[in-house]
Amino acid sequence: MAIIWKTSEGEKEYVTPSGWPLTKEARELAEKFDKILTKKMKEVKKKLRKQGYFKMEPSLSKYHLLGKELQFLDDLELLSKCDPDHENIWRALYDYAPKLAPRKMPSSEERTVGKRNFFLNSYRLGQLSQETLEKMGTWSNWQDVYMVFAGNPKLWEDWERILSWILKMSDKNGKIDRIKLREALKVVRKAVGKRAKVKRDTTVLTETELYELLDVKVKS
Amino acid sequence: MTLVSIQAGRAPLADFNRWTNSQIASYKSKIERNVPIAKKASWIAHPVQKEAIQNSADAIETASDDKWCVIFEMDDNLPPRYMTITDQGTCGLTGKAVVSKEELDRLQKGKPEYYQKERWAKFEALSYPNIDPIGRGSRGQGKWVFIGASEDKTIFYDTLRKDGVYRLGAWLGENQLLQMPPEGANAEILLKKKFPYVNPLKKVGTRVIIVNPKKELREGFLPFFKSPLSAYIGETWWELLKSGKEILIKWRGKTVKVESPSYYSDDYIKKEARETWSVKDVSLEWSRNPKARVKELVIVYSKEIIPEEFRGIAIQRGGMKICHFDIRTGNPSIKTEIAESMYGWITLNEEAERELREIEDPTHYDFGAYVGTFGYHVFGKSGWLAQEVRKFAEQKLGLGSESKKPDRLDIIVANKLNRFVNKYNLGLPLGRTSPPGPGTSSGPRTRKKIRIKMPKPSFPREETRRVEFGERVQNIKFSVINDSEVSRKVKLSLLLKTASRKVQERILKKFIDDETIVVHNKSESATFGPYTVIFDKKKFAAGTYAIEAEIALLEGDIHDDQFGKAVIVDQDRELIYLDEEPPTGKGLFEFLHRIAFKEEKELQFRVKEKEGKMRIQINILHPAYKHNEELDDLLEKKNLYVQSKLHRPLLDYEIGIGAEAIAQYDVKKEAKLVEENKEEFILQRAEDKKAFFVEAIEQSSRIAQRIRYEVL
Repeated sequence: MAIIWKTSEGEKEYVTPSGWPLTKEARELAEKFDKILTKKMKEVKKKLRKQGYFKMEPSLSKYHLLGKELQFLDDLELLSKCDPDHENIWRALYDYAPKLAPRKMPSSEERTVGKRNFFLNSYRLGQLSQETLEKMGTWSNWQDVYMVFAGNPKLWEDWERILSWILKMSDKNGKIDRIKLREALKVVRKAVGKRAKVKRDTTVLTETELYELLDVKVKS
Repeated sequence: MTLVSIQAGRAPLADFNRWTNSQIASYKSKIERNVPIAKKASWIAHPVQKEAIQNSADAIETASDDKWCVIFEMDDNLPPRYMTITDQGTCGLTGKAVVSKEELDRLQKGKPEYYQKERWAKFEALSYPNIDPIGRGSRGQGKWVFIGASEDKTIFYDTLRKDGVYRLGAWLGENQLLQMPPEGANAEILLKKKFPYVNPLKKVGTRVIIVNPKKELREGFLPFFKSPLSAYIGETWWELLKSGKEILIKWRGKTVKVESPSYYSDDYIKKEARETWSVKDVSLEWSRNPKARVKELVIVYSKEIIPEEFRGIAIQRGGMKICHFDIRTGNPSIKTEIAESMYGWITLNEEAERELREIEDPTHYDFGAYVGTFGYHVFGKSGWLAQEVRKFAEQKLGLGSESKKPDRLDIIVANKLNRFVNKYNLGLPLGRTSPPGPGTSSGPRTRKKIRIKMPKPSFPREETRRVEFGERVQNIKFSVINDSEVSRKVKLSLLLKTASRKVQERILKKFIDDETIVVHNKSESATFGPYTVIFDKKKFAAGTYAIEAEIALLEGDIHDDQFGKAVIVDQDRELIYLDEEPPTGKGLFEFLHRIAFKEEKELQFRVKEKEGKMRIQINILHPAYKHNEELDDLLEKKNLYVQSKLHRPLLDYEIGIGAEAIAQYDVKKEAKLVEENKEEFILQRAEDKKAFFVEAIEQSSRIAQRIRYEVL
């Protein structure tokens, strides 16, 4: 279980999921995965080029295009053997396709995968439907939403339902209202965020119960 | 030709088969323990090559016209009928064909140079030592490997000497030795009769023919171009190979020249080493032989992970690797991942090699390192080599000094002392003399109505949560207690997770995954488990892990913050430290340091104060400490802590020092532990404005420590 990162000197570094040792077998598998990912990312670049990705101005829809293409990672069998919880793959993508990112890999990403990793961010964005994307409107709206989830990764387990509530609460004429959005996010943080007074496992709630719980928090 | 059974040498063979099998078994167990390169399927090829090359290298004839070379060759058939090991550039098996036991004994005592020349007789006999101080072989045990590597326990051997004598001998199983080994034409006739495709030797040297080789030997030859045998030779004899000596493997007309592994080449080190450490011609300061010196020590910290078989420092004697020295011996602060990239070698001068031979195991795969021996002095936990490794780690790799990293024992002591001081509420910041007011203790914790009951699992050692690779944590159990008035439906999970702050939290194992149960009011659920985790080196990296239990309610008013649906009512975790030290527990004692006092050498300890915490420094140069350390080491080597559950002398020693420190602290500060005339004591102490009382206590302790220094 390992994937390859490149150091700033261009040397290969084999990175294992946390808790896993680096074994010979893991290295061999990482080499194999390296070849597959190189090929796959070439295909992604080719596809995006056709869609005009490299000529588009930075925008929500541009990175949504990339995010949609990155969904192939879910079906990559070897990835489940090399990086089953998608811990290290995002940092690796800077090595395989640096031109897809708007800027160079920040130094904070050199040794770890941070919350703000561009490829992870785009991958999550790519999970949104076209309708949700249109509603979301701007990259900064998406960033506010994304950071609430990134702050408590357990929320990703229930992200679709929670996001629906957020969109509903911040809706104004079919678009997100920024003030309303911020209020809704505050409620989510308070009710089910990492620092919530009462810890809850929202996945056991029905949709009605979840929304009722969040609605009440709005009123209070 | 008659084959006669004889009793040769000093140890008559009561039971040939049992003797041979026991010899082979002792090789096997040493190899399993010390030689990671040896594969199960071909393990016997390892001692065969080691003994064969060793015998040959001991017989090198520098004046010979032929270049020294050893050739391992297997019969073309599969399975092979025989395997040969032939050398050239040696003196061959010199000496008479038959020498009586008495004569050999007499020569050994009186004429060592003649004794050394009776190579043939010694090869055939049992248990005759090689008295050459720089000889590689030492006890004439090697032939048992050849005999044991034959299914029929049968070997033939022939030699051609520079005086033109050609002779053939044999061990024919069941204690049958060819009593009158044929020479010249008779020898050639017998050889042709037994092995029609084997020609008599043409060059001066010796050949051993192992008849009907065991499967574990022939597996050593295959696959031929990447054979285990070649890897074994490279690993054992890299030093000879590096110096240009030639060792060949042949089969079915093809030849492979064994190469020295790349790790030992200057090019590799130049290219791949992150850091190196090199020491040449230094004294080992071994008082019993001041001439014993290190010829060369090289330690390499490589950019890449080094295969297990080359890790550690190869301990060399006569160009042969005996075994390896684990980098972490005496230096547990070097992380496994760093140790995995470290290797090197140590070579010794003649005097030091002589010392090493004294303690070497007859199999040449190990040596004794008991307290007081050369092995302990050089390769022990606090020995010369461990200190060099430490210097390398500290000076070149920037790793913390050993004394700064608390040892497991020191943590256990600090925890024990902290438990005591916490029990008596000791521990106001030093300098304050009034007893602590009420409320300093945390007080009883209110129990949750619905809670997890997870007893501490069974760790390999009761006193610590540290686990080594290959060990297991057992008896992981979990139940739910419902002290509330109503039955509760709960979802439970029990997971093994990473819990180090340095790495992302990740689930590694799900013992219980989202299981739903109903726990009736005022009752306890059934117990889940016991579960076990084995910390296999191939599946876990060193670090902190947690067994984490969680329960969430599945029923109830969603707005009820206490018992509402989805509320996670309880979480509990048990921490496990794999290949790393757990932190010390909270309390007055921050930690214990073992350091070498440069000044005040006669003191056993010092107490340092920092931010209201006590740090005890223990002097490792004090004789009282050294005595306990030696005893501790000896008991550990004998495995008596595990078998007899003995108390560790060092632990008792440190506890004793801790107890004295607590007593001094209490008498000077809080007086909570004073029992007799307590009020009068406190009153008198308050009147002692010049702190004469405090000074007297410290003086008394220092005097006692100095006395121990002098007397011990």
